[in-house]
Amino acid sequence: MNLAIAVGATLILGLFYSWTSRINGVFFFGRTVSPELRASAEARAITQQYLISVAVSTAAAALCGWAAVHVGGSHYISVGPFLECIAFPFIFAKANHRVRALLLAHAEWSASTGTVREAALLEQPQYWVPGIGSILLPVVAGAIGLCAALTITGHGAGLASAWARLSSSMDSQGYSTILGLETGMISASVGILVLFRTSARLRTRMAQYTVRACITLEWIAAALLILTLFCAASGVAITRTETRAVLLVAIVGAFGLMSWNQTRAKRFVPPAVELGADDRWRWGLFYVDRTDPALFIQSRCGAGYTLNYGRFAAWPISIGVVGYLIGTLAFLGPHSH
Amino acid sequence: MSRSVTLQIDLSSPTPAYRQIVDGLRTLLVSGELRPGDSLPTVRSLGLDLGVHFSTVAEAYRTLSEEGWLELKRHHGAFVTDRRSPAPSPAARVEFSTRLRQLIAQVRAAGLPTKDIHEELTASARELSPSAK
Repeated sequence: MNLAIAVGATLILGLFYSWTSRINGVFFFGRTVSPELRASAEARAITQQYLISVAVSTAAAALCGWAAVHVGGSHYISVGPFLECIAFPFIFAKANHRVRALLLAHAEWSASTGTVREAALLEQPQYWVPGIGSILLPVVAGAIGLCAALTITGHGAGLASAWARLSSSMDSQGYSTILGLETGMISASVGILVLFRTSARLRTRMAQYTVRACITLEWIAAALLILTLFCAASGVAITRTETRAVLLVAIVGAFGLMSWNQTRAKRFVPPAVELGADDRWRWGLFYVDRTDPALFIQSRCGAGYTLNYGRFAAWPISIGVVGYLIGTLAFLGPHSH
Repeated sequence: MSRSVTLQIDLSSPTPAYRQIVDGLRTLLVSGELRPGDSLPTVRSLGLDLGVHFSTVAEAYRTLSEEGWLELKRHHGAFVTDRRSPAPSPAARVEFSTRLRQLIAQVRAAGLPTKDIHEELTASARELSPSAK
């Protein structure tokens, strides 16, 4: 099971970095770069080298992961994806650095936006902006599921006893980590959504799409949580095949959502303040602007969001997300079945 | 079919951003590109798009609201109202005449011939008249 996750994560990371480089005419060029530059032989060479580096790194990470498992055991199964997480940002930053150098050498290719700013006034269909209720509803549904599962398991023997029986039932099935992952997904979604509501970016159309995607994710996690709890409470074992099927559906769904986001993103012109902000993207990856009130920034590739590291709140969020991912990987290792 | 209406400002211009937003929006309103019932972006959203503080946009919206062009709704942005043109007052005529003379003097000083000024004025007046569309 853990081996499948590690191999899948290694390949998905590699494919993702190859794919995102293509969707926006190679996104480390930035949105302000002129089409002439993107089509130039030098730019094509940078793209080619970037893709080769990603492919080689993916292969190297897979090899390192395999070697680590054979030398140190299954505890080291996450070495491959971990190495990719370190290597890919550096490969990206290097490509971004080369593009900037190319731009400096060819001033005629710079599509400078100057000080003229433009904003679309119409073509803004009304999208649904969620309230706090819709954010917290899935959590409430998850809590009701937990209470129901405890009631079924406890048979009136008290909360502590019911919890112990439920935990034991889940541990015996060997898939209790799924519960942790789902709880984590719900918590992270709620946190992100609440932060989104305090961010100025919620007012943009793409942000509202992102919020809707987060709420969908939250509902899926709540449904899975309730399902897992009921299976545990009623003694129905979740088989390996069923878990794989759920993961497959989740992966296919995630890719579908990403493709859909790309189509939708084309309809939205990013805010002008971000269009001319290449100098605010450190390494081409991290947006840093203390004067920008927005915490969430439309990412450079046009779909999705990143954080404005010029605001303090971005740091605890990043540490929390990275900590959660590392914690999940560390937890998955020793519980290999 | 959706219409494409954009507002443009120049942050390096000596004219304040607030004034540019008011003038730009008023031009769109008078020319009929923005119609009654159209919804404008919220002050925060437009401020982010234009790279100005949201209070600058709010001030511009307030000015247009006082002129009767916009209806401001909290958390929902601004809506274009069905404004009827008031009867021109003698004071407005005098102000218009003074400003126009100053502007013509400025462009004449810059070397623009009288014929071009005349043609430009006629074309602008036609363009900004919704009934001419």
